[in-house]
Amino acid sequence: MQLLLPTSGMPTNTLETETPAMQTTYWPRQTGNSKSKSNTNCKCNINTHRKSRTRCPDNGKTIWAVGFTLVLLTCLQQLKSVSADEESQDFQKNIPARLVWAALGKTVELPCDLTPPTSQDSVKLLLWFKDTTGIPLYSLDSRGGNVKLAPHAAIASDLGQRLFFSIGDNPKDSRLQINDVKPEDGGVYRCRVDFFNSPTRNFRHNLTLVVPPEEPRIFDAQGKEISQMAGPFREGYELFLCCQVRGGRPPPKVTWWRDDTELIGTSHTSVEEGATVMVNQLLIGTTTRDFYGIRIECRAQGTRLVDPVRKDVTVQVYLKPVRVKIATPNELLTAGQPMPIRCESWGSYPAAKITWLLDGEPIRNAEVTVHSDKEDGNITTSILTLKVTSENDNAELTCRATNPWFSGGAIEDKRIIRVAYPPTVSVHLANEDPSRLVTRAEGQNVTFKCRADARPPVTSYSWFKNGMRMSGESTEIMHLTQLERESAGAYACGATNTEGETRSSSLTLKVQFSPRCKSGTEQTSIGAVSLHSILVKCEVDADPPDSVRFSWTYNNTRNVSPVLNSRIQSNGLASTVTYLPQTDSELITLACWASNAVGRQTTPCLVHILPANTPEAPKACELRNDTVLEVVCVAGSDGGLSQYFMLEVVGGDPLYSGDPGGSAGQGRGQFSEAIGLGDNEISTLNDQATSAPIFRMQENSPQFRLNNLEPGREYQFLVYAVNAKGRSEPPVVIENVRVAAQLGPYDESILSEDPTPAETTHHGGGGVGGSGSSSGLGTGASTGSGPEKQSTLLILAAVVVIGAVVVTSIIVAGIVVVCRHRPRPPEPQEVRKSMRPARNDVPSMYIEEDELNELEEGGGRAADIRARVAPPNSHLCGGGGMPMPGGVGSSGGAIVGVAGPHHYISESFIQYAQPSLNGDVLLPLLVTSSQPCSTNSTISSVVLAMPQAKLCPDPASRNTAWPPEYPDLILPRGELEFTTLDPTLK
Amino acid sequence: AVAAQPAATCNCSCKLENAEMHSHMLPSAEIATTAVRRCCCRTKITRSNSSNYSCNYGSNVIQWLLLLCLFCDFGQAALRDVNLLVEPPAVRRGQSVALRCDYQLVEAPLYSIKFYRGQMEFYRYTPGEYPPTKVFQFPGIRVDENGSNATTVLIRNVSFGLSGQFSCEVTADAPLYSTATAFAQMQVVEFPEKRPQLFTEHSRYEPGDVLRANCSTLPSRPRADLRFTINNIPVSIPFTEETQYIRTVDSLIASRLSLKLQLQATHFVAGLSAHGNGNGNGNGNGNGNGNGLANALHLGGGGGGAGGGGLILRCTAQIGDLYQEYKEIELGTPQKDPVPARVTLSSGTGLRGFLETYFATSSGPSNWRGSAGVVAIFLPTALAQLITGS
Repeated sequence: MQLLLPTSGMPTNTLETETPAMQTTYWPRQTGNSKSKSNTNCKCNINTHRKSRTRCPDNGKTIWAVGFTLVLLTCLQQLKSVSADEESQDFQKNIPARLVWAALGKTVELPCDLTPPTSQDSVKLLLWFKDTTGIPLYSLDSRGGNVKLAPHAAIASDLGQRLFFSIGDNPKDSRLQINDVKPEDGGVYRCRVDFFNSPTRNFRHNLTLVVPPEEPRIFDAQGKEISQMAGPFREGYELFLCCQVRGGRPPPKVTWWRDDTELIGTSHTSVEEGATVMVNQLLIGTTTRDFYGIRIECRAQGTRLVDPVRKDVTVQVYLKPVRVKIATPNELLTAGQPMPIRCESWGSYPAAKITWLLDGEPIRNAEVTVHSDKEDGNITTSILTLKVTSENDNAELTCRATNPWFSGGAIEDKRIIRVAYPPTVSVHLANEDPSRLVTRAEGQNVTFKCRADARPPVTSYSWFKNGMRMSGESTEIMHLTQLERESAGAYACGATNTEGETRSSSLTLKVQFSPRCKSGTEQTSIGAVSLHSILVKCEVDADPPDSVRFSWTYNNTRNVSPVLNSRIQSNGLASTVTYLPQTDSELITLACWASNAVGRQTTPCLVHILPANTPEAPKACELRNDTVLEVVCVAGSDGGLSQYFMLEVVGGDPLYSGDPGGSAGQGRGQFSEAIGLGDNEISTLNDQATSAPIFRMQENSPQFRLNNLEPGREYQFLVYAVNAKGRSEPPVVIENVRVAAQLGPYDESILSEDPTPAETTHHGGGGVGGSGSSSGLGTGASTGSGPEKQSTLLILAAVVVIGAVVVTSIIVAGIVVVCRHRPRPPEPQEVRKSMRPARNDVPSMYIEEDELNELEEGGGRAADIRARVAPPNSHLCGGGGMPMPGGVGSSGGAIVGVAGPHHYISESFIQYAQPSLNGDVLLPLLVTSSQPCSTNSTISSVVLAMPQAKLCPDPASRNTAWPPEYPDLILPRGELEFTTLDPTLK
Repeated sequence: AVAAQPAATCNCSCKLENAEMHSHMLPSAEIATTAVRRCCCRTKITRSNSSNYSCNYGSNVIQWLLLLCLFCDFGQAALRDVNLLVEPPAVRRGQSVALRCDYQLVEAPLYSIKFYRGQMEFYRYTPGEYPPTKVFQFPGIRVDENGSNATTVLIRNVSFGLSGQFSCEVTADAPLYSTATAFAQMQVVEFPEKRPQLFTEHSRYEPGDVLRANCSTLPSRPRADLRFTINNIPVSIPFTEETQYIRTVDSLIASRLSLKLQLQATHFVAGLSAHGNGNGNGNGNGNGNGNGLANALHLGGGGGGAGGGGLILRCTAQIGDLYQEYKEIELGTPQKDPVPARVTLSSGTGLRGFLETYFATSSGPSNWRGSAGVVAIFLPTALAQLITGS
């Protein structure tokens, strides 16, 4: 009994010890449960509350209601889960179940140790149960003998087909293998091993299916979800990514990976909308370059049985440029020539922005070609077409590479560029005088210096004068000695190097010189007319042009004498002297001397005074018949005096082919009878007749335009050159000039222009022109009126023509009668009277100087008179036969006699002529228009009246007619006398 | 024989036993139902260890399998109504307990019946072996093989370590090996040897005094719960009681309860009985022998007989529904009869005391109680004066 007591005591103590332990274990569990419950509830409330506030803090009751509902639902779920946990815990009170995780579709093994407690024992029966007792899933009955040979039996169901119990080499490693795990396989599995002599052993396994988590969601620092591309992040700055994984059982472990290397992040658990979310935040303080383009992976793995759920993003990193280099070799550049400069930059993303600087200043308007190659280390190439100038020599060229995404991080490559440029040349005086105009006097010296700046250095120099290269000058300094006037000019120097030759701007050298004759005027000749003062002019070149003084000397064959200053007029570089030659035969030379600051003229300007001659006849006269009839000649020598040119028109034969010839014949008969000359007289008369001009033209140049010639007639042109000494002889004759009749319009213009030429001729030439024009005018007027009437009434025109013919016949008959009545007495008397005024004119040429001036003017008139004498002679002869032409001639003679009376007579003549002409024209017209018979009577009465007036001066009215007739008679007589005098003089 | 044994066991008519049966019936029924639902055929498969499972049979084999399924369904229904009964469910340390496993198995051989304590099998009955019963030695479990049979296990001299869950597992034989398990709880207890002890600071109290009392029990297991009652009214004022549990050797726990309460007039009530003695001791004895529950009931019935006009303080010790004992003390009642006093001028002090008492009584919550007290005090005084005067 004593032995039994200690034995029983010890087991009792053991049991007592165990029992309190169990109790102790029990209470904390309950406490833990309650705590977990309360915690769960608290979490639900707090989290939901916070979420609602965070999401919509400003919303009112609706949000609270929704939140409350969510809280209730969440708590209910939690309660259910809690109750489930309690049930499982109660069930686990008996045998603790080992938790085994299984993945869907995979194979899971549930171990069951078959090792008997004692070596003598062995397995009798093996049963596998699921969840509850009943029919076991699997059985292994080894009551018959060896356990390895025992029959296996599995329940005939889907699960049974996927079961197999394998007994390994070691009974301890025996396990139940479940293939192709399915969702319904989850539960508590119990393995019961019955031994023959040992207590039964049970193993429990809680097979739990793994639920993979949802796909991870990656967010950036701004809370934006990233699908493919994370970033961009900047090199050197922080990189932040957040990965959230929802769901999954067991709760997944969220990690960040990069190329199978885990990145350390911060993990925590948060609750969103009642679900547990695992969060891992990846924060890399400094992003390095090796992160560029890599794929960062977020993995969520709850158990190794299942592959982790992955999501990766590509990290985009903006990189700073690592290196920059000017790739083009640093060679000598040429100014003005574009040169491509290449700069390369590595390692920047996005592409680097390359800028070029020259001496720290950005190069503007630079032609830059940029291209990037991402395949080759993010190389960015910039090609600058650099056009440098000479000022850029030794400048610093900088290539700067930056990434716009970084405020700093710019890297540069620099170099000093050398520029080859042509010389920069300037020419200066040797004493560095900067003036561009150098003035020196003749005989002095001057030294020029050429300054050149060039790279490479200047190889040779050259000098230019007025743009022409100076031979023999090839040094930097040029000396000019004994300056002459020709030394003046623009001097420039040129410098040459390998890049080319450059000329400097010119420097003007001005050389002052003493006066000298202007080129071409060293010796000149001037024609002089006796007693005509001439103006002798002397022109010189001088520098300086101001303060030039002149002096003249008079050289005669006998002596040399200075000219009085009173006769010298100087102005600038010219000086004039008035000289009055005494005689024509004396040769005189005037010398002009000038002086200025530099000195006195060395060689005087000589002016030789030569006697004047008549001008030379014009040459190469030609007739041009363009739109206007024109005569053009070339002037000849002027004979030492100013000359002008005169054109006389002679002709009109078709008009006088019949009547003039008849009258001329009668005239000739009278002259032959009176004078007693034979054929010679007849030929002379013919010459005079042909030389009678219709009108004259006077021009300064030998070009004449003839607008007023009447078409349908043949003319003869005489051209003269006239100066103070007289006119050129013989004249240039152009014969057989015909005017085309088709010039109808010109006829009208001629008619309208006739009065003006007539008046001009009167003033310039005298009665001859007037008589011609009046005759032509009258005839033209008659002819003009004729066409008008003919155009309207042919019969009336015919009547007028017949009337005109009749009147002409009557006049001719009257003239013949008058000449027969007074053949001899009037002609000699008239001739003698006219000779006397001619004699009076001759002495006037020898008047003194003042009178000489008047004489000059009068000389002109005298020349005119002489020119007129010939026509009057012919007129006089003709006038003898015809009263009208004779009247004109007499008026000319009166003019010759006295200047004043000449003007008076001409005026009166004009007045008389016009009314007379009008009267003549009007009377025949009126008579013709009224009555033919009365017209004839009127004409005959007129004819009778005229002779009676001449024969019988008694009637008073006829006295009025007498005075006009008297001047007409006087003028032709004067002209006749003058003509007679000329042969006497000859 | 198998059928007879369950019938004999079912003859017990104790309510607790019925309750036990009822509580264990449900899980068993549930288990049986589940087992029925999970009925399936079973096919024996012989395979090598390394080869994988494969099942390819001809149509004939399938047909035979279907027939076996039908048989299996009937067979599965054979095992049901497995129950585990513990007699008694609460056993005192050193006593014996009987575990009986009831089941119904029809048309199927029994493979084994196993009894577990927690996870440990300590008794097995296998009819196919000889001897059919087998006992596994575990510390604290002493199986009496002579008193055990196919369905009942007798355990003697139980100790505290056996408190916990017991289960029996019934398994049919091949080919289905249908199995069912029943669970039951057993509690090993120890009661205090004596009634609780109650002590007070004074034997007499007046209203306004502070009542200090201590109540303690001898060690027990599980621990006893103590509570105070005054005139059969539980003391429910907070912060007036303090409980202590003291562990002693043998893993027993002694309980102790302290009371500190300021008495009021309401705590003193008039005694219902006329006799003056207020001793209310119970007659119950706390003998170790006998049924604990029966003792509790008897003791409860013995209580009563509260003294009139005084304060009765009771301390009750209770261990679940297994054990209950109490002790009472009558406080506040004077031991001798009242002495009448002469009515003279010097009795002014008495008059003042009278007035004070009157006002105090009137200020109480119950007016009728106050007036009754006045009447009770006044009448004897008046009677005394009348007698003395005559």
